[in-house]
Amino acid sequence: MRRNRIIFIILWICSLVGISFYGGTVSYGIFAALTLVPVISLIYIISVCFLFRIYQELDGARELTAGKAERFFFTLYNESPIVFSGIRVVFFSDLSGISGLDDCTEYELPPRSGVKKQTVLLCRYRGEYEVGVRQVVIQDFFRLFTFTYKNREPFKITVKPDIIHLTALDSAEMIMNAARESADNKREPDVFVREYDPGDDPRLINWKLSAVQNKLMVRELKGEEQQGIGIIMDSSRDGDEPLEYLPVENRILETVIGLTLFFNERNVPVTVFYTGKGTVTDTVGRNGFDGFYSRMCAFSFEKEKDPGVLFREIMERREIYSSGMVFMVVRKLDPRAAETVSGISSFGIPVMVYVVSEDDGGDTPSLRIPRADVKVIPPSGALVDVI
Amino acid sequence: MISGLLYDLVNVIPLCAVASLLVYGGMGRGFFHMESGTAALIPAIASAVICVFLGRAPMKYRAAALGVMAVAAAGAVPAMGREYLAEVLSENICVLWMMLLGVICYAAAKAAERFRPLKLVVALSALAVLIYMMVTGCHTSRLVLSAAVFYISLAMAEETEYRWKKEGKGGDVRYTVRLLPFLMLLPLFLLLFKAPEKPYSWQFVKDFLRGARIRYELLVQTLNENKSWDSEGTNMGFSEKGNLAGSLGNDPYEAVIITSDRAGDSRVYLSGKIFDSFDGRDWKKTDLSPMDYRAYDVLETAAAVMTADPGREDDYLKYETLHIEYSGIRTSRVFVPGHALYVAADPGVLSAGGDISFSGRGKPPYTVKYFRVNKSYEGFRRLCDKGSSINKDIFRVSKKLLWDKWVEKGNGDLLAPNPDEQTYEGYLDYLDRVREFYGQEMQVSERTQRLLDETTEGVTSDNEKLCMIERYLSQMKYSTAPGELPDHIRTPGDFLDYLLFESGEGYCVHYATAFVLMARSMGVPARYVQGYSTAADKKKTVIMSDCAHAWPEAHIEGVGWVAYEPTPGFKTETGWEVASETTGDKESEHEKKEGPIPEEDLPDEEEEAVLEDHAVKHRPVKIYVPVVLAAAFLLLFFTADLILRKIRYAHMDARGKVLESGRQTLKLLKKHGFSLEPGETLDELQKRAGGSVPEEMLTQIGIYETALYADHKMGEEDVNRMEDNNRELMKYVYRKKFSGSFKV
Repeated sequence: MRRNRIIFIILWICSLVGISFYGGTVSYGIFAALTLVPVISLIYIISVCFLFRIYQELDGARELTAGKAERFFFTLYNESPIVFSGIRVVFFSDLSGISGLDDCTEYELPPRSGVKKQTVLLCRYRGEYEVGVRQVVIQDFFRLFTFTYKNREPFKITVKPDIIHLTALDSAEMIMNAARESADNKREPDVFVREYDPGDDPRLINWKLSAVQNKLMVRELKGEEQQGIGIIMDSSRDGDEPLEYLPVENRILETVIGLTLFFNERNVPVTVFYTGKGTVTDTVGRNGFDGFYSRMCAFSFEKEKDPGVLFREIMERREIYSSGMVFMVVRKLDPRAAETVSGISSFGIPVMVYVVSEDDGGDTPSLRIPRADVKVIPPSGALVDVI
Repeated sequence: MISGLLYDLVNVIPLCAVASLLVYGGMGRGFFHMESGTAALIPAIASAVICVFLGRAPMKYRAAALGVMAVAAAGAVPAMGREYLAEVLSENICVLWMMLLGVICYAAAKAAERFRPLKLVVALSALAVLIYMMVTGCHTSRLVLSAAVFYISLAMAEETEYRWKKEGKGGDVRYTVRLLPFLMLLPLFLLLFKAPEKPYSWQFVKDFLRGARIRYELLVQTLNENKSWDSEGTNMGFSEKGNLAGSLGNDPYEAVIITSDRAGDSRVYLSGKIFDSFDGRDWKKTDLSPMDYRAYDVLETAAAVMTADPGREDDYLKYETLHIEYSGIRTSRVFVPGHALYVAADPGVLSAGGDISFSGRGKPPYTVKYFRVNKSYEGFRRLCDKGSSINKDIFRVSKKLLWDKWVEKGNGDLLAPNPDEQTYEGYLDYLDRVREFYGQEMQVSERTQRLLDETTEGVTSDNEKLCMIERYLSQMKYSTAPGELPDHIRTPGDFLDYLLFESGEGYCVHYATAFVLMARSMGVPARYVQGYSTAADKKKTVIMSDCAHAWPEAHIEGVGWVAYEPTPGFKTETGWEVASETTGDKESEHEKKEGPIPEEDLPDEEEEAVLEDHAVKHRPVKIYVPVVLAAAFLLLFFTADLILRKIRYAHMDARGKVLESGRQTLKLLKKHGFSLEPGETLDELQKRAGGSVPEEMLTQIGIYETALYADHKMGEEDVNRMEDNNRELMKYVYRKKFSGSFKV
């Protein structure tokens, strides 16, 4: 395109020179023709803008899960009798990605024809945002001018946070210690067995006993409830642009959901503390993960949800102190968070702080608090590798 | 197919148009016997279009076309007669040439379609031809330009498409055809666009730049109040310096605006600065006397007039007012016409060596009272030739009369100068100064002297001699770029010799200088004046900077300073008609009328009628015979074709007939919009067409498909079914077509 423009400008300047020295049909005619070319290109581009159609379609509902690829179709259609010389499609790429298609590909659309492409859409973060075709770049047939046409009907979808199955935690040692202490304190509940009812968690099946009894037997926890895990979730938002705050929020949610699922699968009750309409204490029991996950999908981070207020209220309510271990998932380890950690650990409760931040390596904050540890989780990358 | 046809036409026709019009233009009307190039265009394009259609037509139709032409040609020979045919052909050989040109253009266009670089070469050649015609000034019709531009734009669009890497490229033909609505805008506009004949003057750019330059120079003048205006050098404008600059610029701007109470002279001279000494290269002003030269000049002239022709002073002098304001200049100079009596400026003016300038912080606008001299009046010329002598009494009386007649009564002006300030002794001093500063001795070379003697031979008075010199110089060459003065010119005499015998050209400064020097060499006091000179026949006149001028003035004893105009092309008679000079009626012009054509030259009417009748009777025979033969050939050809096809069909085996019928089915469907698409099977076509055509009429497609691909023996039953269905299909299709409800 640049070459064509250079040639055009040179010719136009030459035509200016021509009319300066020569009169008559040819000199003025060539000048008029060259001057008219941009006008014709403009008319052409405007025609294409009005006659051009984009159709987008997702295979399935408009609710996706972050990190999960979904089939995505888009069609460029030319309903007019004129040919579309060069159409280029640009996709949203900040928060989502289209694989298999290049933004640089240009398409020619003969009259009454279309191009249908199947590809894969991957949304990186949870939230509600636009995906698919962001804008269309139209070029004229002389490749002199382009016009960028914003997609007037963008494809808006809701993306749920990803459920990450953690198989182990790096803070297992701390957990084990917590469990040992609990055992010493004889706080482990009694375990009874009963016959298997359909719907029971297969993980509770006592296989040894079942083999003996010749029927499926499951454990039933009675007595004191096993001490749960507390998770404190920073609910604040930092930044105005989605690209600033979404990755961090997404990772916070993933971490909280992943931890909750991890313990829920091991029949450990989890109590999540976060700021909703006030400070919310969300206890996730044995079959309560799905409900919790739905609540997390609908959860919204806000600037007004000050973590300091959350920490203070948690400390005042004292429910946190019945936890066997506490996880704190925050975006930064400020003095208020450190004070909260100190307060909790002073009750002999181990605290693991996950700081979701881009800063890592040498900037890892340290806590000189007994039974407390801190780890930095970057917003991108596999959570499993970090936790 | 339509796309292909259109594509061929848009490639062939512009090329044909350009080529034929260029050939017509090159060979001339005489060769073509055609009044216009458009007529030459028609046979070329017609033959090219025929070639296009034949090129796209099936072989059968090409054969038919060639046969028709051959038969028509063969029939024309006996019908018209060899002699007549030869005569017609020789008279219209140009038509055949143009038709051949059309065929050549078709071949070239087809070759260019096939070989992309060739198309580029042709397009660039068309552009080169246009440029050549532009440079050489050949007249180019809008049709040629439009056609050439269209072809070039087509080639550019295709080249761009070829180099464009994108998905879905469908091939040049359809792509180009679909772009035609946009590409056609260019030639359509060019056909309607009437181009000027002259190059563009970029006047708005020049005006803008000039305006900017003037604003800048005014700003500089404003910041340096004491600095006067000087636009010497390569500019065009008034200069306070007396050097003879090399060449003049050409960038005029508005300088001065003068307003008169009534329409004035055909030309007015506004004096800005008077010079007295010339060193061969530059004029200098050494006379700085504060004496009011202008008042004495007026008195001298008035006295001469009153003495020579008492009571008829109005025939010689008119007392008028001029209002002057400066527009694009800033100077302390006061520009005044000759014989200005006084200048009313606020706060006042000063006089120095005849020049007037603003005193203190005075600036325009200002008013000048002056005497306009009737220089074209014969009486004034006689006065100048004769000269005059003014004694004390004449001086006194004249002064009184001057004031009484004009100044007091003129406009009731309270600012009139005090007449007591001009005395006779002062007048004598004034004359001495005139002789001293403006009558400097002037040495000329021998050849200049010879020239002067030859030029002024036969006349005696100073004025007559000066008029001869003025006439001689005004016949030399005027040039705004005579070049710089050579270094060897060091004296006035050198300058004169250089101008008169070497250079021979110059502009006002050169000729004014030469006049002054020549006048002085004859003992006549003369001075070099710089100012403005312009036509001033309206009440309000805008004087442009390029009206800056230099002229000589000579002092005629007893008459005063008289301005002369030796610059070639600038001489105009200034003055007004006096009653005694009114001439008689002008002779009326005879009109030439063309008389009627002599009767004996008119053709005999009877004879004409006979000839015409004969021509009319024989024309149909000459034309209709070949036409009828051609029509007959066509009829026979297609009839024979039909018969042969039927015979061939009858001799086919069943499978052959099924295949032939199948092809007929596809042709019928194609005619009405259901073509077999690339990669489409017959079964898919049947399903697709089944949406519009009753299915029972399409069952033969299955049989056809079987015959094509399956090793199945066809029987008469299959043939009959094929034929029956085709008949039904044909009826259905044509019925729908004529009823207009066939949905494609």
